[in-house]
Amino acid sequence: MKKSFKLIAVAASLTLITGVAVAPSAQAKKIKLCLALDTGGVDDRSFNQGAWEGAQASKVATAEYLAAATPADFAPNIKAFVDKKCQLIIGVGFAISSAIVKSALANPKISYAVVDDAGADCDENFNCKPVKNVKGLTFQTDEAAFLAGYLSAGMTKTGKVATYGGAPYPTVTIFMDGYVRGVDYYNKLKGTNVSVLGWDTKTKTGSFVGNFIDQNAALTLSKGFEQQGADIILPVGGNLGSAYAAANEKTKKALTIWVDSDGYDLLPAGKSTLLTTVVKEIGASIKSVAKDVAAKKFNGSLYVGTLKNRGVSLAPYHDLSPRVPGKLKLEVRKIRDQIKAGTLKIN
Amino acid sequence: MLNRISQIGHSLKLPGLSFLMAFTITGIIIALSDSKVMGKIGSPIEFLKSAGSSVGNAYLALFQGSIYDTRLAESGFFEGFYPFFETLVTATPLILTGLSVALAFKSGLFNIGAQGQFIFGAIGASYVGFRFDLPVGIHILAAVIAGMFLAAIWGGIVGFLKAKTGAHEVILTIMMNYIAAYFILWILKTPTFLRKGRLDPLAPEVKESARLPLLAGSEFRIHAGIFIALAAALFVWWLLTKTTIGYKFRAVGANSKAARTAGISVPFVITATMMICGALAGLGGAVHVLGSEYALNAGIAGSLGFDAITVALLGRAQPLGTVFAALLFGALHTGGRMMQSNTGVPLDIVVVTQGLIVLFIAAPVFVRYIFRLKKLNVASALTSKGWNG
Amino acid sequence: MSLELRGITKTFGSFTANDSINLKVETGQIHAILGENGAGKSTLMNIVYGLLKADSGEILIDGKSVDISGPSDALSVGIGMVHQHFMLVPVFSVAENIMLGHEKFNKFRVLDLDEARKAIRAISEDFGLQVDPDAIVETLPVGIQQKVEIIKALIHEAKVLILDEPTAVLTPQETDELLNTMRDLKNKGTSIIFITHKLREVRAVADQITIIRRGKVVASVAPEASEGELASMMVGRAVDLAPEKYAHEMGSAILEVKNLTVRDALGTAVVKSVNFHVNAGEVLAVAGVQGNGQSELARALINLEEHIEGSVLLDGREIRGSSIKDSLHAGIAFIPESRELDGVIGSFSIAENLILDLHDRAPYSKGINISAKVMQEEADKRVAEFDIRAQSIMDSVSTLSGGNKQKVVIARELSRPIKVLVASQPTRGLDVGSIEFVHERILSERDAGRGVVLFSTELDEVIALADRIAVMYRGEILDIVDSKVTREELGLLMAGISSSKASA
Repeated sequence: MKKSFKLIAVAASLTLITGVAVAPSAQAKKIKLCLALDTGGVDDRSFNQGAWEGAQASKVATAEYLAAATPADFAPNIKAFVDKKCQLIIGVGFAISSAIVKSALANPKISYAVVDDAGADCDENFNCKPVKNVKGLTFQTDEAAFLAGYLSAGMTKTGKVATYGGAPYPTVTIFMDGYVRGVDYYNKLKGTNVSVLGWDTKTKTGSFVGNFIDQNAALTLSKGFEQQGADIILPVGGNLGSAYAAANEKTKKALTIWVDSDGYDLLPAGKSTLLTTVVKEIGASIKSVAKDVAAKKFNGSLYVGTLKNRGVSLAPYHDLSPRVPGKLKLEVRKIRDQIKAGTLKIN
Repeated sequence: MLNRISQIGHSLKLPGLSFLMAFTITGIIIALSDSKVMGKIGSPIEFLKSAGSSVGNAYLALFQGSIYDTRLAESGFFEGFYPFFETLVTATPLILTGLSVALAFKSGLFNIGAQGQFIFGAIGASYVGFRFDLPVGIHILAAVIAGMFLAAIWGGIVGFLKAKTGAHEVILTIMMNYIAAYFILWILKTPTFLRKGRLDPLAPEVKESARLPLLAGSEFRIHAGIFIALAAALFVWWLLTKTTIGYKFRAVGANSKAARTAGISVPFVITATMMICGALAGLGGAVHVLGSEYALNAGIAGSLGFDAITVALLGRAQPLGTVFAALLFGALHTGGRMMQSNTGVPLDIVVVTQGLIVLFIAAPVFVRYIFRLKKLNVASALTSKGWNG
Repeated sequence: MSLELRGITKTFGSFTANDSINLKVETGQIHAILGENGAGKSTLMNIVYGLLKADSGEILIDGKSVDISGPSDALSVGIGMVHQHFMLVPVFSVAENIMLGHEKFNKFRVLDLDEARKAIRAISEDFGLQVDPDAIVETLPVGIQQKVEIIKALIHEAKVLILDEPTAVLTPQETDELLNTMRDLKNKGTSIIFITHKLREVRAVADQITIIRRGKVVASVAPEASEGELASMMVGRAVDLAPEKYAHEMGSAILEVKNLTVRDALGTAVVKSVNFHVNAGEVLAVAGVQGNGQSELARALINLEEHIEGSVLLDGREIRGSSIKDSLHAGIAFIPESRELDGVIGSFSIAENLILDLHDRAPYSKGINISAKVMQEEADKRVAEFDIRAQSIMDSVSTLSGGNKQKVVIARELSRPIKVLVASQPTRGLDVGSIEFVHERILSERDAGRGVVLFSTELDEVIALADRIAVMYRGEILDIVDSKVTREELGLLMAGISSSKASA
């Protein structure tokens, strides 16, 4: 026993000694950008992944991240970044917002940002005041979803389209609102009667999976809409729709619209029935705030991603481009320009 | 006395060696999964050097992230203990859920339900914490009692059903966990729990008066919950060794047939055990909310209720052992954070280490074989019964 | 074939189970190995059968040293063993059981049972072991199942047969039959090693008796030795085999059982409308072959069974339907059938085991706290009074011998004020010394004016202790007879033939 015990002890201490000796050297003059992720992991094919890719793409920053296993990790993860002297700490997702705000108030010299939330300091009665070292990164995704709705209304053959969400969070329902309004706008212009299943903008009620993980539940919802006659479906919820997208590629009964990052680059299966994506450029927003910090131009004003500043957009039609009538393409582009110019109010 | 010390040393041999082996294997995994290290596979010396540095840095980070960080100590000796305080904060709820599982083991029950009980403890404490305005002290007490009460009922239901119908507690507690997990999702969407102006499942923060006092100022998260957890461990030890109830628990756990034959009511023991286990896990939930989280969210329980099973197993279902096991897990979790951010070793490797430690402890024959030990003290094996118990 | 053991030594840690044992079994000899529980008989036989490896020593077959490192080696050199607990598959037929592990197939790849049947018939005729090869094992009486085990050994051409406590599960008649079978086997040239602690059987059948005590051979004697001599060699001191039972005045009925029916979980009556009473100062023995409802009847007396109908009056007060605890504290002492399963908690200390029933009463507890001091003081007294042999009262009970475990149970049960003692198989598996102790205790309770219900399958015990004997057969009490009844009459009753029917 003694022999093998000693061997391991020696090996262990050797690794320690050599390890200490070869500690990492200091980095170049780039700013230190630190991402505190939401639960779900860095490879979630959704906002965590999008944020991390954006951070890595930044030319003015070195990026690192900490993943959270549970919400209880939020605060300690942020604190770890503070201790590591990060210059910009970005919380990904509205759930982490209050932890970011708390840390920001305690460390006024560090710049913070939070994705999908205004990053304001709110009391229990929701009286909020902005925090000057926190930049909220929010997105008018309804603008891009509006285009998707208009496009869908022009493409449907059954006169029915559908949308549903992972959970009724504001960041989810904003997509659904824009989508419904886009369809309504088409109906108004063309005198058609295309209907949207799965969401009612007035009562704010609709279909939800209940989480952002259960792809089978999402598949069931999609199939249900398909049977009710919907031939274009927009699932809003990260990777939720991928099971349906894959299944749909075989049956070709309906077209799907993806959200967040262009699904054409992400989806392993379902590209041939992917109409477009309502893109939310989280990565771009992160690059932009990093640039501000590096240039010492950071401020706590709200960042709002719009069609105009390319923070949101409608992705290319890719494989389905030949099926979209040229006239409809032109109309969508026209509406986009109207929204950008502010001449068309989508609300 | 000397005998006693050698006895303790003997009983630490197995955990110690398991620990060592788990870290050795984890080290190999870290080295082999590092592309920089593997790039040097061509030259053995460079490869070993690089592997040593990779593993050494990772473990250095693990230590700095969980015990003492010299870099933080630059701003004061005391500040260097920040990671250790974090370890305590992480370990606090784990001690309590671990005790819940450990106590159940002592009564011969396998409480998989600490997760659900924890959730109800958190719900009760959170509601009383944000809903009412009470004086400091009383508010904390009321919130803690509310959480423990709900959780005791939640656990007691399992005990009652098992006692009355003979249904197996493993199945019951698993099902109750599902119910609890969806119950908290639902309740967080009700107007009572929804934060003003928000639609996501996040309850308001508990009032200042309901928060557990911070022990080292607002710079640190260390709160009085650690003392509550230690007191609970003391309570469980006292209950088991000094009281008639604990005697009944142990008797039923060790041999329920003999206990029954001698007139001990097995249904009473099952129900009482599950209620106390529920209260302990619920106390964990309450302390977690009142001490460090303040706001109830859907993921409040994380995997604390399940890690508790491993913690209780590692701690041999002994109160003191459970405390140490929880501290170890807390240290691995907090240290893993530093390891992830400093060296890019994913947090998941910590879970691998935890799994390996438990695996080796559960398979003492294997450890004995590796280290050629003649005889290891593997007595006091856990008396959890199989599916027919 | 002869079997010789030379200098067999086997240690477990610091404990020497076998200490250089020498033994020779001649061809066609019945060699009895006699010893108390824990003397090392089983260890020795497991070494011979290859289940354990000796530290030193050798095994010789017909004078040649052989190496046996597993049961298959043992079988191949001609050693067969019939274990105390049968190794049969209950739902298989006799032929299938015997074929198990040595399956033969016909040309259609189907089990060839015919060959097995033929072989069984041949053995049956050769040795006079009548068994139907197609009978399903679980439907056969225990005595026949044992024959199947013996055939299994013989079919593999065992020339030395080890029988491990073979009579423990048999009725007196079945025992006599087995002894006859053994003689037949011997006459056909088979050597037999007969392991037992029953003196009467040894003297009836053995050619040579080797007595083992504490791992050592203490004597090798001829069967002409008296039971008393054998017993004292086994125990190492003079023993009193027949306890003195003084005639004395009996009181009135202290326990009355009326129309008591016990059902199992499926609703089948396992005890059928039983009536009896026990007087103060009387031992009522309930005899019968194991599995005829005695265990359930005993358990029902303190409400341990789930489904009980009828009435149990203790000193005129109905206790049926009370909790187990109330039944015990109403004045019944209960010695359960299996002390390991129901009697003691192995991982608990002796002191803790002694208060299993009283831990939540004064003086052992004050409020919610258990007083360790009182517990230990009382334990010290009990250990002294009941002669429990242990290093410390804090030792866990699992470290004790069977006899000392039983003493713990008895000490606990007799430490309450009691009116009736219910003892279920109280001497099963105990050594002679402990049996003596238990018998004395039972009689002293009787003499102190308590009622005793003794459930026992040991005829000698029943006859020695009882004032009256009730015989159970298939859940009913067939008859209650005076203790002066003969063994033969009792044997008939136990086989279900009531004396009234027999005489009629």
